[in-house]
Amino acid sequence: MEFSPIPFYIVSALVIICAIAMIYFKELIYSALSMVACFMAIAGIYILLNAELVAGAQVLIYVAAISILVIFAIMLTRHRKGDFWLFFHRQSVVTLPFVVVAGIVLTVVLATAAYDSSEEALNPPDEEMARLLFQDYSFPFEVLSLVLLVAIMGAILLAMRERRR
Amino acid sequence: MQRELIAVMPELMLVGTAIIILLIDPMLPATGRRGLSWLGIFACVTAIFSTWFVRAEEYSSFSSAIAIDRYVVFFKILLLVVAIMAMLLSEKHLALRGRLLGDYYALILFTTTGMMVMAASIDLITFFVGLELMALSTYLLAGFFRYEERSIEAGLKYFVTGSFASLFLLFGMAWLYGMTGSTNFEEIGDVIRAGAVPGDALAIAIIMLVAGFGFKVAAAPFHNWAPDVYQGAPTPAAAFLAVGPKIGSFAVLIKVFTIMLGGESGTWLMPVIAMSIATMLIGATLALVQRDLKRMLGYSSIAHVGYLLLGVVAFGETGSSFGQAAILFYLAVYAFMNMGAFGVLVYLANRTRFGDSLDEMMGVGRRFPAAAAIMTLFMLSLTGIPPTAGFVAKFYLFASVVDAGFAWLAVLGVLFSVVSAFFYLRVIVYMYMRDPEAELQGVPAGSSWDLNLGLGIATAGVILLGILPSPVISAAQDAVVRVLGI
Repeated sequence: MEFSPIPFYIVSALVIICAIAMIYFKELIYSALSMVACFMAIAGIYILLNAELVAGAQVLIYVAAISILVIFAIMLTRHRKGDFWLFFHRQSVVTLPFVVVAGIVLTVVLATAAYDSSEEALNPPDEEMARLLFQDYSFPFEVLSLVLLVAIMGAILLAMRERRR
Repeated sequence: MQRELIAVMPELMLVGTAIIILLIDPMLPATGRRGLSWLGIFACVTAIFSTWFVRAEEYSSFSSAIAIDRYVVFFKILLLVVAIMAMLLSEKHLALRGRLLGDYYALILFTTTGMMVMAASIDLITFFVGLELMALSTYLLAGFFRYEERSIEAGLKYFVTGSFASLFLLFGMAWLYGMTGSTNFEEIGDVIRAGAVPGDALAIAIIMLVAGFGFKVAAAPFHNWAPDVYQGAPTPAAAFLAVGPKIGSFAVLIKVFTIMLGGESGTWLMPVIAMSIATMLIGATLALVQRDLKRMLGYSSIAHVGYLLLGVVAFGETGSSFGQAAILFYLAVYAFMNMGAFGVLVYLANRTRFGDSLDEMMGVGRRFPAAAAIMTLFMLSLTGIPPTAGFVAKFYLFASVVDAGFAWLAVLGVLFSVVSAFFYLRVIVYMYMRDPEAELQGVPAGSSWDLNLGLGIATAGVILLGILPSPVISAAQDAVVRVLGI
């Protein structure tokens, strides 16, 4: 697929709008939903770049898993309505110079770097990925499942209301 | 396939038992949970046997993710012994505090599995995954008494600093991978030795790795979390945290700085020397002013990391196996004496309303003569006084440093040992020569055979390694010579 700028601009605008909306919404749940939209739009950018595998991972991990976690966390906790101008309190004054510097550095780096834009680099064949994951790196992959098990166990251990005592 | 299964058999046993413990724990009545620790101990003992079974083998498995050789076997057995002692120390303490849950033993087994994966890893990814398994479990162990503010604080602090350490390590590893195109220790080492890597970029990777490992083993200036965590964590968990993760981290540190970065010691030797001196200085001097024994042992463990880093300096300078073998032996001795010292604190906390302060040690010599006697032994060993194991370990370590041409560093090490003698011996003075104003209130039913057995193992280790160190020393020499190919 030939890369065309128009859809890219549309999707990018969507990403930026959703990101800003996420910060500005007063209700946490609206923020969370705009975050989901933002993640979806980023997946759109990956598709425009012919990186379907990365897009799929983006949807699976960010849109599905992380967003659901965030929404669950909002549902399960008490929260107050935020002040609209909260964002403009002290933090923004302090962080503004850092944001500007980081923005300039990133722009310079991204503009001057050379990229490997071959089909292979953007979209590795699925079989190759599967072979790496389930054969070459099968051992760390299995150990990772233990890490997840411990994480779940820890969450229960620290947060569960005790009935036994 | 069969060989691969044999290679991970000890890990499989621990993980399987941990899952069984988690499954049957909710079905057991509160009194029935006593047996869970013995299930865990049984798993560790069988894992020791299955590790011993492959001690003469040498191969890598799972597409070069992990290796089996004498080095790995040495560390696995040491870690399993530590896990057994940790479980023996814990049972009664948890029961008295109303937190006797199977989760605790499962966490110890998971931590041990993570550390064994680290020790066996010959690949950056395997190493990092093992590290995270260990780290996550240890944060939870630190915060296990979640109704006590200090314990939660310890867990949170450990989590935050541990995450920083992981970030530093990951960043350094990413640089190495980016420059060499491989995650395998040997392959990275080959590329670096071939000189295909720009020196400045390599220096960044090395600094990141040194800082990351520094955090993990609590070396100055990355040591601040250690006393807080050991003080806040449940005492038996603190014993485990002060020993296990250090052994696991040093197992990888030696491999990384020999196989991968052995030829680059010019870059990392100076930072490690500086770190080692700072660590000994901070550990020994700040321990002097501690009135809380768990904090004191925390700073003392920092000082011991300083000595261990001297061993890293020794092998970095000469490339010989002397320094590495000395580190391995020191770790074994450190495991027994440190678990023992914390274990006596657990004993006192179980028998009395003990608050870990030095003043409460007054009169312990009269009231609990056996505990005071072995505490004396552990304190002498931590100081490094013959005929305890601590002396042999320090002697061997400092000898390797002198052998590497750093006599002045060894002199510094001895000087700091003399400083540390003050706060170790002070505990003995308080136990035997001071009379308390008021007796500590006793706790009925606070005695426990499990704990006594754990303390017995630690005592036996300190005495045996002091009198008959040669089998373990030669095992340590075999381990490093066979693996690191020197």
